[in-house]
Amino acid sequence: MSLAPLMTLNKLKKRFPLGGGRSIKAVEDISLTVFQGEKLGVVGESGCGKSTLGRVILQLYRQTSGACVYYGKSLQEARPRYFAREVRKLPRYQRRADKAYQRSLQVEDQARAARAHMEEFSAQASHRETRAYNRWSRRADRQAFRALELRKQASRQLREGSRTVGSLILSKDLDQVQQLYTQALHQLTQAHQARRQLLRLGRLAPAYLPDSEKDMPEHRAAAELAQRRMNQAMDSARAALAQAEGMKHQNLLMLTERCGDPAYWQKLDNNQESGINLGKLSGRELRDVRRDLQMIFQDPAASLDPRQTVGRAIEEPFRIHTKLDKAARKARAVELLEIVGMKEEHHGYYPHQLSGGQKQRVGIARAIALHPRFVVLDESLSALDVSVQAQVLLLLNDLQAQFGLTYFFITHNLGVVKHFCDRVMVMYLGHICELAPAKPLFDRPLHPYTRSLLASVPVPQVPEFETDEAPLMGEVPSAVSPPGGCVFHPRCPDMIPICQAQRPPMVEAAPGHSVCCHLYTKDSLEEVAHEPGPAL
Amino acid sequence: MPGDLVLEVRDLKTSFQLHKQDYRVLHGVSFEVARHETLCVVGESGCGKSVMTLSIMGLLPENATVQAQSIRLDGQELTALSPRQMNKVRGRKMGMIFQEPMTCLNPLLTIGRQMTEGLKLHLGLGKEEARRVALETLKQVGVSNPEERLRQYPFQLSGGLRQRVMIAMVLSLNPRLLIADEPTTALDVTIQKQVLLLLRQLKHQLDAGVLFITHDLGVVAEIADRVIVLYAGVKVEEGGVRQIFEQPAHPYTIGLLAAVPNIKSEGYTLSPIPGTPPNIAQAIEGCRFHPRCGRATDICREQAPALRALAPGHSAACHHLEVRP
Amino acid sequence: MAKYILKRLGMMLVLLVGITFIVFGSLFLAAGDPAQMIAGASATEADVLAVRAALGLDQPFWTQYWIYLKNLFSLNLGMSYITRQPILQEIAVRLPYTMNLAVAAILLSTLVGIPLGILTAIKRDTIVDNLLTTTSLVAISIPNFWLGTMLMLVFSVILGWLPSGGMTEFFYTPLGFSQAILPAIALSTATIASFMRIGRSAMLEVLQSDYIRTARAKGLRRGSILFVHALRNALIPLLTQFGTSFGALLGGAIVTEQVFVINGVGTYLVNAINTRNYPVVQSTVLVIAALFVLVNLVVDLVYLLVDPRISYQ
Repeated sequence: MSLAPLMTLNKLKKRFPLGGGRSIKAVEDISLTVFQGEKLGVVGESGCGKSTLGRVILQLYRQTSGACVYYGKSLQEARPRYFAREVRKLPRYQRRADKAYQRSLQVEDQARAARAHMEEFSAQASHRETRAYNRWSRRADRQAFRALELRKQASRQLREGSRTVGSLILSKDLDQVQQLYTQALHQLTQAHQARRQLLRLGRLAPAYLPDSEKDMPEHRAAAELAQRRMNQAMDSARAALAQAEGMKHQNLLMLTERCGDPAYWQKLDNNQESGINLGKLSGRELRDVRRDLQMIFQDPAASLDPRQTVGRAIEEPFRIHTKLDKAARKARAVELLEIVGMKEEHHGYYPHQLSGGQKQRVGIARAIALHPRFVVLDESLSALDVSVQAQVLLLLNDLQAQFGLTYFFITHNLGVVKHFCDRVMVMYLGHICELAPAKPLFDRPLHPYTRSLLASVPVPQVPEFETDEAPLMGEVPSAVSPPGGCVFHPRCPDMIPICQAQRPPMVEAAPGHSVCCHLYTKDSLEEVAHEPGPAL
Repeated sequence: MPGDLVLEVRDLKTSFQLHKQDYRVLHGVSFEVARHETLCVVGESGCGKSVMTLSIMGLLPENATVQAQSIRLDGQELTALSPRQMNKVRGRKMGMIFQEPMTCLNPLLTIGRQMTEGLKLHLGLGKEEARRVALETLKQVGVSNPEERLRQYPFQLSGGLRQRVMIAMVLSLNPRLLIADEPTTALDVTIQKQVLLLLRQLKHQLDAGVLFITHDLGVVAEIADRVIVLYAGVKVEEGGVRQIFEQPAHPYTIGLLAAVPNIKSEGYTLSPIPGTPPNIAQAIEGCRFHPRCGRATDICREQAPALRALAPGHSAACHHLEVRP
Repeated sequence: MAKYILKRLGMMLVLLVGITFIVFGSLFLAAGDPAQMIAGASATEADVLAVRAALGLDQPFWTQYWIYLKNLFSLNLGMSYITRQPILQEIAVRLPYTMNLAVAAILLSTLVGIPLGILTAIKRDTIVDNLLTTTSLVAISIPNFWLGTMLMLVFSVILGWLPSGGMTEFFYTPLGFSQAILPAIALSTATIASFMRIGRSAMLEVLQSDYIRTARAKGLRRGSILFVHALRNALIPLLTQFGTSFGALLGGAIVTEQVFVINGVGTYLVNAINTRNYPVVQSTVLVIAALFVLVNLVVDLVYLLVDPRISYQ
């Protein structure tokens, strides 16, 4: 497993408004990196937001806030329109940041003036004077607060800009930077067109197709021309971007007091997105990226049209996304059926003629038809019998090895997660509780919720002694008004006072093992090291 | 145990008529449930486990025919009862809990109304008396503020609570047999654990036997005293819970146990049973499991195996039972 | 609960204002000059202008509409061009007959249609079911004026059992009943059939639901399963149908009144259309629409009684 990120979620939030100012807080501030080729298990009880999260990532629901950045395609390949828009907005970010900062300086002066006024009052002040003193004091506080807010606003603007150009947002020659980027974008458009043409000619077909399909002599000349055009355009685009890159950290505009700090430059550079912000894509661009992102649903029967043959269902993505002719589509569909362990004869079957496991195989075939990179499996195995479940898991393992797929495996079945996934994320009421590689998570769960969850799972072994106490009492609270502080505190067996007041931060309690719980924050971390949690 | 049997089923055969054709779902299943005992019926979808319970309850649709040598509930022969007499037994002497707590309660009637109607009908209780009994049973199954619950409608309760209400509804009549058809499948694991613990506690308090249907072997291990394994309408193995989990004999039971991803085991390898469970339209000669069985030989394809006793209380239907040391 | 009712009432008001706008606007655009008609054929240009000014017809659209709305709120529906009587009075005289007919028809539909629906659901796929379902298809497709004429022919002309038309009393008196029965049958046949069909499918769906299985598992008697558990749930889709059917009945009443020579709002409307009596057309349409909206408001409130889930949302 390589450690290249494929998808980054940044403070992703999804709320479903209910009217009356209330909303279902389905997903709250999820930050996560999914790496290429990993099988990430997402577990939690119903209502924990795992399904919503999967759908938000695929942009089936648009996020309320936060970002979902996809690295499987470069910005050049996808050429999203929002990027050009952001480039146009660069000077505006800089201007606004400057304005906010200048204003904050003024407000600070006013605050200082107010403080000065306060000092004029004597110690034995009259009632009236005390009132005036209080007034000035309040004003000073207010101004100081405002100045702080303005400062934040300034850095927010800079941060927004840095998403596109990194620390170049601080450059005095932003106009020139903008020009270079626009130029690069223009070249990228050219490259993109050439690329589309190549795709149309079947030159850039997915890697698993036989070579004979890709090479059609009659188009060779056209293809070569397109290829040349694409390379040229890409080269000049790269040159323009490199030129812009060369201007980094030079000739800085002192927008705020941190502008001279190399650490801050680094921070801004890190902000620069090399991936595609899925939430900012237009519908059409999204459809293009969707080839890479697929979903396999829970109910194999409901996700297939009963009046459509299996073959048609599998060919559908080809009809939408490619220009393959009928015969080629059918050949591809049969090939896919064989990949998922079915036979050619199934091509003409209707869904009602298939068993549950076979329907799910068809769903898988359809999902991998366009050679995706990121597959969300939403309880995909839950409707299957255990004996068949294992078959499908084996198939998923094979496919992953063969095509380098990345799985976002949403399920409530912890047994499957333990034996199938590389990494596991435990969710509760829209929050991440714990995120760790599968083995440590099951061997030594840290979060109290994970522990109770694992203790609740029925195991196919006769227990040595009967317990009478359920590991977790009560039920999941409503996501409309979740508890304050740590959302788990009302049911937590290990609750400490701070849990009611403060939301715990995410801490890395062991390498790669993150947990969101006050028991593991800095002060208590040492104790934990000596006192391992109960082994399960 | 003998003499204390709550339910005795002999040679239960159920079939459905669809488009003027007969499809047999149960091919002659026999078993018994004793007092204070939980008998688990496991099997995959389509094995006939739900049909079995509905056959006993007499709740199958009209296109189904139930044939049985005998179904005795608490000594009373059910096969001979008229529908009217059956109504007196149903609910009174045997109660049933279903899988979907979300849809099993009438959305338009209060919990109180639904809980008391059985009490009024079967025990002839007055309104106040029935309410009191309902309150008591709700407390018994661990429902918080029961007075309020009685006034509420099903949509105001969570899934776990509804299932507790269903259990209370059945228990309030003090039946001899409690049939639970996948009662925890629709619940989250933590809630499932609570309900399973509740059922286990109740078993000791009640004067009844429990017939528990599930597909989840983890649940079986947690709740069962005895287990029968059903495959394609045939009982393939029966035994005490330890016998089934520690010394499974039938290839299907062994395969099923191996296929479950167990969170406590290390080094588990995914080992599915090849093929898929047959649907009822498929006719299979000989042993019904042979198309998916690794041990199958010619005799399996020709002759249906009979149940053979392996140890006291443990039997399996297979031509190739390994001799146990 | 109170909030729900208030919300519904508010929505009803908005709807009614919308209806007045459409009614007023469409007649404003309609051909023909009312001033010319009132002034008479022999009127001079100056007379017509005078009439126009007197009626406010020379004002711009919004002003006219505003005046119209203000009049409406003081229950002034204007004057009939022909009789020069206040329209409100004329409608008030005729409305009871129409309502008499409509209520008789809706009662008939409910009392016959719903039980038939339950019957066919219980007797599913038997001869009774097949016969009734087929008949209902025929019943839906028969035009009510034809059915009215046929009924009249058979029961009044040939058999002479019932009067052939006219309406002088309400249907719950013996005379009123004999007068109302034929028009009510003619009017409600299609509604009976649709109530039956919807009742049947709703009942079938409910009978297959999990909570009916629970009720059966409790050993409840067939009667209490059907009438306590099933019927209430099946009533919900029927209620919706009740509201929309009432509109259809009012529309049908216009034709039926013609056939049975009943001096109701329908006849009044038809006459007004024939004589281009615009204010009457306007007001009649408005009254019918208001009735329809009102009935649907009542239906919404009945939902509250039947379905506890609504008041908690």
